Amino acid sequence: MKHTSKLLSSTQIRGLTKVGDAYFPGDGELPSFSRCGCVEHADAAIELLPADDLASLKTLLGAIGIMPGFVATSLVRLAEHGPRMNGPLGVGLRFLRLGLKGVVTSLYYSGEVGHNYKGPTPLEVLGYHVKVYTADVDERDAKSTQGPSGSIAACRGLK
Amino acid sequence: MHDFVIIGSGVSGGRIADELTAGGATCILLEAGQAYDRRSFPPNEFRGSTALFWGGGIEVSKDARFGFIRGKCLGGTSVVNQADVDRFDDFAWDTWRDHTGIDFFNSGQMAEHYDLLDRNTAKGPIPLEHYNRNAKLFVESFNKCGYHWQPIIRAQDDCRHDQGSDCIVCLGGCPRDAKQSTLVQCIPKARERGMELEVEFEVDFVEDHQDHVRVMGRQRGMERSIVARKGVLAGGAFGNTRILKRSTSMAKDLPALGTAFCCHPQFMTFGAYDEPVDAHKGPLQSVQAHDDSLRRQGVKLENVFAGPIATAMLLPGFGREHHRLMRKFRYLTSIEYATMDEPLGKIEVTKSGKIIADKPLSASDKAKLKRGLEVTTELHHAAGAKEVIHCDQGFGLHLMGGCPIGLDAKTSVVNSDFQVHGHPNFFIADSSIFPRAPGLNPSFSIMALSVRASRHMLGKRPSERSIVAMGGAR
Ligand SMILES: Cc1cc2nc3c(=O)[nH]c(=O)nc-3n(C[C@H](O)[C@H](O)[C@H](O)COP(=O)(O)OP(=O)(O)OC[C@H]3O[C@@H](n4cnc5c(N)ncnc54)[C@H](O)[C@@H]3O)c2cc1C
Repeated sequence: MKHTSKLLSSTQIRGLTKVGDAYFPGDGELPSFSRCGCVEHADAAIELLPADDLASLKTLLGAIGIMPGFVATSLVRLAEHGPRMNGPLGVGLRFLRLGLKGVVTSLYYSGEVGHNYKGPTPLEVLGYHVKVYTADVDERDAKSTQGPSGSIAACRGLK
Repeated sequence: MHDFVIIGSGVSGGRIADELTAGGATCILLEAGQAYDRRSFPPNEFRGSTALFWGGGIEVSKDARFGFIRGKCLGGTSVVNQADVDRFDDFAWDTWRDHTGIDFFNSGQMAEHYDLLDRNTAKGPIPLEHYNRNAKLFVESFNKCGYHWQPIIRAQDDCRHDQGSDCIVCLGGCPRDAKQSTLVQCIPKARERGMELEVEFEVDFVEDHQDHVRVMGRQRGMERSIVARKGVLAGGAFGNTRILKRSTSMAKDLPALGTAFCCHPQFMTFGAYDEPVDAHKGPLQSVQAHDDSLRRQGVKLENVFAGPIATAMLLPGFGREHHRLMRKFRYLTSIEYATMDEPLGKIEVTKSGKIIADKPLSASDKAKLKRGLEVTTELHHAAGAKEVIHCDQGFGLHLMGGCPIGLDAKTSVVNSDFQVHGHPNFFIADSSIFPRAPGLNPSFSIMALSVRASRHMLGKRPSERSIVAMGGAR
């Protein structure tokens, strides 16, 4: 896979992919995390994280990147116990879970896939299709002689 | 010099901007997030959750038991919320009045502000014929179990469910401006009246200089400072507390700053059915519990659903078991239970400016959560769910407190005229002033409090209807 991330090194991307595959190994119809190529969009998932959260995530992913795959799976299994555990270990595992699961889940169910992937996206497999009808408001705004309305008016003149 | 600098453009800040400019005051509104409009909202749940929320999507409690969600964009959380608008009942106002000693916390006196908002806000229930199956099963389960429910009143106008609009999209901003956010309802009017607006401007701290206030922050990496006669802090529970904690000359006078944090801790439960439910289609939320006994027990139930990313985050487990649950996505209903929690939480800010929100649960909070879980499980079974799935990831959408209102400067931050104790040039009327969790949706009451506070800001008595410009403004 071509390395496209500007924020993560290839070792960190490897770590992210291992975690992604532990959470989303695929089930025949649903592709695995690595197969669907969503990791190509990793930067969009993390670029707005607060700087210290991003730094911790990068360190963690770097470490997972050099671990064997089964260690990543064991880490994920352990993290999933976090919500039911008390004490400092529970706190640590819950942070781990929210951090790791958060990023890979956002990517996997983003509807965005890798440029080489040809199969259905996980969202398509679920049958998730949503829309909002806008033809009438688009037409109204296009015809309006009084200038734009609503949110467009609020943002008018802003860079 | 502007009459007012308003920090934050959400439910309170946007409303106050409308009220103050209508009263003839000159204002500048500062918002940390970016400006999006109905055509430029992020295209999907993935892009929306990173772009429109603080923390790049979610912030986490000190013990990581709860994820907190708050909007960061022009219009604030009013852009990304569900737009359910409830008046507080006597129970909520009486609790506040008993706790604070503030007389106007009663349904009678607040009715005037609610009535005004009723007249100016497009809102109403979802017509029965548009209820989706998630809502119908919720109603069926309530009827079978003998609990009372009611249609939710939503601040939205012409969603075109007849044309197949799916309101779940609007959690990332409504592409037809049907949702009556401040971005749609208030800010355009304030702009028409000449209000200045600066976005991507994150306020760091404020200063009170007797005859003016100074607001310091950063806009796209550049340090900026704004001077005005008076300041309105409308950054919400986390935003305001952070600003004031970093305003060292003021924070030293405010011993109660950061206290009384509550968030209506909530959990989702899912019911799985053999036939598709398609809870993500059509109106996202149509009904909620309206049951005296549940209300007294401090349990709040709503009929809601979440997008695939949020659902996958909430569902327990990983690997093939997680895939099995997600494959049921179209076959799931969900009920959210939230609790009227005790105000034991604390909002701290580290030296580097990071917010640490501690949200301990009391024994009574835990008992309420247990009750919520029991009732939702009973309801799912009554409606015929084949499997009931409990989620152990808690979250908080209603972030409240941090700058509680009250008469005593030792135990509160804001006085009954909505001024910061000892710093009358600064006003607050948003979710941060909540002295207690109401156990009800907060935004309509934040609007009502903001309307009332605006009259104080303009030097009028709260009951005076016609608001006029500040003397000597401009
Ligand atoms: C997903 C979701 C659904 C919800 N649904 C409902 C519902 O259906 N009904 C209901 O009543 N409530 C709902 N709520 C809660 C409700 O939206 C909030 O309680 C309400 O928006 C709080 O209003 P506020 O004015 O205090 O803060 P906000 O609306 O959050 O506005 C605060 C604004 O200040 C800005 N800000 C913060 N700090 C700074 C700073 N330092 N500098 C500049 N700007 C800053 C923020 O970016 C934001 O725009 C929901 C919340 C969420 C997250």
